[in-house]
Amino acid sequence: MAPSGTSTSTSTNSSKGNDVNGVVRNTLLAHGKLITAIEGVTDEADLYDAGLTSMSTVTVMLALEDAFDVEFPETLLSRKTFSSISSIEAALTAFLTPDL
Amino acid sequence: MNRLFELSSTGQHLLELAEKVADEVCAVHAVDVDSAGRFPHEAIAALQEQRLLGAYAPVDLGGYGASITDIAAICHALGQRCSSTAMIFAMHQIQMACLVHHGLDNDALCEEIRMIAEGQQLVASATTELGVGGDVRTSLCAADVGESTFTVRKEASVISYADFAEAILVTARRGNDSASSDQVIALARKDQTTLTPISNWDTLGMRGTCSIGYVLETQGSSQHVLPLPYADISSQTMLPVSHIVWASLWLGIATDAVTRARTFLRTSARKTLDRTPPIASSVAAVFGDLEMIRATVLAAVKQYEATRSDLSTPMSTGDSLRISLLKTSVSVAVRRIVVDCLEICGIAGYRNDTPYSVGRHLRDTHSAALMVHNERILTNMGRLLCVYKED
Repeated sequence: MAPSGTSTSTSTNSSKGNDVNGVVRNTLLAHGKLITAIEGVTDEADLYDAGLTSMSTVTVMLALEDAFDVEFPETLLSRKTFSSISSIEAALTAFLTPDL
Repeated sequence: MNRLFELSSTGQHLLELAEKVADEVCAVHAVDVDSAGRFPHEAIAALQEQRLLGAYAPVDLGGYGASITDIAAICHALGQRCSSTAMIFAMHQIQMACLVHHGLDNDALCEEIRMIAEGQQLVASATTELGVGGDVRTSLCAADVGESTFTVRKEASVISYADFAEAILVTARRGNDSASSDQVIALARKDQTTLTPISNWDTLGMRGTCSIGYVLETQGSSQHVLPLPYADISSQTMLPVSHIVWASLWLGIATDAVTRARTFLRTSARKTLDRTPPIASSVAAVFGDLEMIRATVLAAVKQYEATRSDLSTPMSTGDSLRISLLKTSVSVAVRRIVVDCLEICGIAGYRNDTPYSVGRHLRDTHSAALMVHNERILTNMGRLLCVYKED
């Protein structure tokens, strides 16, 4: 996975990054079955520590596909991609803006 | 004895040792182990004598440095003579694979691997727990890990052959505040563990595995908690290795049933020289079905060996999907094959006292679909297929 989206994933001055970040957070809130309140999960925090499971990642991925109206490659479904909000955001950003 | 795998010279040597144990010891005691529902002492002692329990440990830690292919070949051989012995050997090697793949960076765990291999100790597994509905990726109990020690109290619904093991790999939540899926796995030494039985093991098949439930209470060195999260150990090692060694031994059971059906055919053919016995076509069909499973198991082992060289890279979704479905497909196929063999051998197969008896094979292969229930795996993999797109 190209790391091109990483630089914008945690910054506050990219509206694109913020949209994706917000959608990711809302999706995790609705479908992630986390044991920690989403406001308390930092962008870099380990989502598996927060209670994400391999099966809930499937639900989150389906919801993200629905939210962006795309089909993501299953390479995005790796345990590493779903390890933090910023890594999900980076993967999505790289996929949604492939020419950057 | 029927063989399947292409082996290195080491693997070949280990397989010959295992075949000798299978033919000379397992075959002799299999009926008694099954009917009495007792631990296969003689077979395990013979495997220890040949130093096969430590086979997967590296040579410098007292093992043979065997590969997963070598281990699968041994399971396949043992499965042809005594299912319970093969299953105990397989489960022990799954624990060894977890320790060897994920413990070699840790001096204390290296020392444990050495003690296990040199002492030919048996290692059991406590992954299931009362109250989680059989989902091994969920724990209720939590590890209390301090500076020097860890403690766990677990109501384990099954710990196979625990009374005969000297160590147990136990899963638990990482700590008291951890999510149920945030698990670690730790090596519990039997002499630091109290086991209180909570069930017995009187079953249809696999009767020698002594898969009793216990309340396990242990205290051990905190160095014995494996550093990698259990989620990773499970997906990289425990799950794929389990499915490979189980599939190999189940195939061994089915292979012996087919061997019996073929012997039955040859005996029948000698009695009716001028015409082919009517069962011949059924024997041909079951031979073909067996061949299909052989190819499936062989391909899965080759694929795992290819990815296993780099354990730091997680298995791809496609690979983990395939290795999960290896279990569900093979478990159902072996059961069907044994039923077919029963129909071929007829009443001679149904009786428990003929060379064509397949009752034990039938009962033992019925466990395959039920241990880690196929329905759970298929539901999870079905969920994964909602997002998996590759061909």
